[in-house]
Amino acid sequence: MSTGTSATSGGADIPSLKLFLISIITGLAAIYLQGYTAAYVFILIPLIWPAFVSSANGVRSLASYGLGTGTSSIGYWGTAVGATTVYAGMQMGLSPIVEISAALAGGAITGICAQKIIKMRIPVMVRESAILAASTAVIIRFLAGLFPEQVSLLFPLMYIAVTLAVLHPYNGSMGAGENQRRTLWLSRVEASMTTAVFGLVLLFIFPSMTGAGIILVSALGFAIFIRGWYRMVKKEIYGMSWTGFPAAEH
Amino acid sequence: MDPVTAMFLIIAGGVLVGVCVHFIPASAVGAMSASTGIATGPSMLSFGAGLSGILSASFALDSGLAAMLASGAAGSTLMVVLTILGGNLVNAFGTGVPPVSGQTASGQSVLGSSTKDAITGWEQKPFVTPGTDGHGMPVQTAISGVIGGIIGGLGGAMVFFGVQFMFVPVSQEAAGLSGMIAAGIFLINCVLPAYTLVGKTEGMFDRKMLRVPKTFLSCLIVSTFLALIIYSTSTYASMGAT
Repeated sequence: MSTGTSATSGGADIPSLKLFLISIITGLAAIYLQGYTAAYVFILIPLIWPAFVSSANGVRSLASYGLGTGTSSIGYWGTAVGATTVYAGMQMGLSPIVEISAALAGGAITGICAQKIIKMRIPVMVRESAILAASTAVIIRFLAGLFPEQVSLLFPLMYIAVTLAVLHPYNGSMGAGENQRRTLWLSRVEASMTTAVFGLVLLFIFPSMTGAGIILVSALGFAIFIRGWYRMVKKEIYGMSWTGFPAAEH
Repeated sequence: MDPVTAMFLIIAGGVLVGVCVHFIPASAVGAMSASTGIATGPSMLSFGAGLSGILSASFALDSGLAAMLASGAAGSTLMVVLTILGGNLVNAFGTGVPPVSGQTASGQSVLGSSTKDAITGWEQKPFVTPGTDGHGMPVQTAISGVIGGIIGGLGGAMVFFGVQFMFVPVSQEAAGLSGMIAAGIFLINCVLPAYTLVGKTEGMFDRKMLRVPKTFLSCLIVSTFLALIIYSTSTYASMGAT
C-alpha cells in the first residue's frame, strides 16, 4: 500500500528499522546522560526527537494498511504498552534498557496475537508494533527523567501528550498525496512542541533555568521544523487560498 | 490474598476487558446516522467506559474487592447507558431517525433470519433508512451495551485491584500508579478486539460476536505477559525493600 515509494516527493521511504535504530541510540544516550548533565539537561532534548519520529513512522506504517480501528487507537495502544512497562519498571528501579526491552517484547507479542490469532494479514504488524511500543517507552522514560523526583501526578499528562505527538502526524497528513517525508516533518514539529510543554511543566513545578532551557531548545527546534514542514506543504499542494470571511462581509 | 491470586485477577480482568468490547455497540459511521451503534470507534468507546469504571472503583478502594467490583461495574455501565441515551436523543429528535438495528433488519444477525428486536419483538425492517445500515441504538443493542459496561467495569476494577494490591507494599503512591497502569492494560486489551470488529459492532447480536474466541485468546496472552511483568516488578521491589 502506501508504504512503498512516496507519492509526490520522489525517492524511497526511509526504512522504519533505520529510524528505530537511530531513535534507540540517541534515546538511550539521552536517558543515560540525564544523570551527568544535571541542570544542563536541556542540551539533550534534540536527542529524544528521533524517538518521536520513529513512533510516528510506526503509526504510519501500521495505519496505512487500513487497520479497521482508527489511527488514534493504534497511537493510544502503542503508547499504552510503552508507558505501562516504563511506569511499572520505574517503580522497581529497573534499568532503562530492561524497560525498553520489555516494551519491545510487549509490542511484539501483541503484534503476533494480531497477526496469528486475529489474522490481520499485515506483513509489518509484528515489527511495527514492537518499534512503536519501544520508541514510546524511550520517550516516556526520558520525559519522566527530566523531573528531579518521581511525579506520579504527571504520568497521565505524559501519556496523553506523547500519544498525541505520536498519532497526529499521520492522522493530520493522511489522504491523497500523503508521503513519509511530510508526515515525519510534522512529527518533528510535534516532538518539539511536546518537549516544550514538559519544559513549561518543569518550570512551574520546579522553577529553575532547566525548564526555561528546555523551552528555548524546543522553540529553536520548532522554528526549524515548522519551516521545513511548511516548505514541503507548499511544494506539494496545488494552491493555497484564504478561507476566512468572504470579502463581502468586510 | 496472595500476589499470585492478584496476578490471576489482572489476567482475568484483562480478558473481561477484551470481551466487553464485543458487547458495546459502536460504529464510526454512526456519526452520520448511517449505521447502528454509538458514533465512535469500539476501542475508544470501551476505553472511555473502562476509565469511568476504574475511576468509580477507586472510590471504593478501602471497601474490599466486592465493593470495588460493584462500583467499577456501576460507573462503567452508567457511562455507556448515558452515551446510548444521548445518542438516541440526538438521532430521534435531531436527525429524525428511529433507533433500529441494521443487521437484524437485513436478517444477518446471530438471530438468524428474524427481523424483529430480540427483546421487545418490535419489527426492525420498515424503519431502516434506505442506503444505511441502521441508526441509533434499539433495545437489544442498548441491553448489549449495558452488559458490555458491566463486564468492562468488572474487568477494569479487577485489574485495578490486582495492581493496587501488588503495589501497596512497595509504593507510597500505589493508588495513582495502579490507576494509570490499569488504564494502560485496559487500553491494550481494548484495541486488540477492535482488529476483529473492523471498526463497527452492534453488540451481542452482531455476527462478529462469533469471533469472541479469537479476542479471548489474544487478550489472555497479552494480559498474561503484562501481569507477569507487574508480578515480577512488585516481587523484586518488595525483595529490595526487605
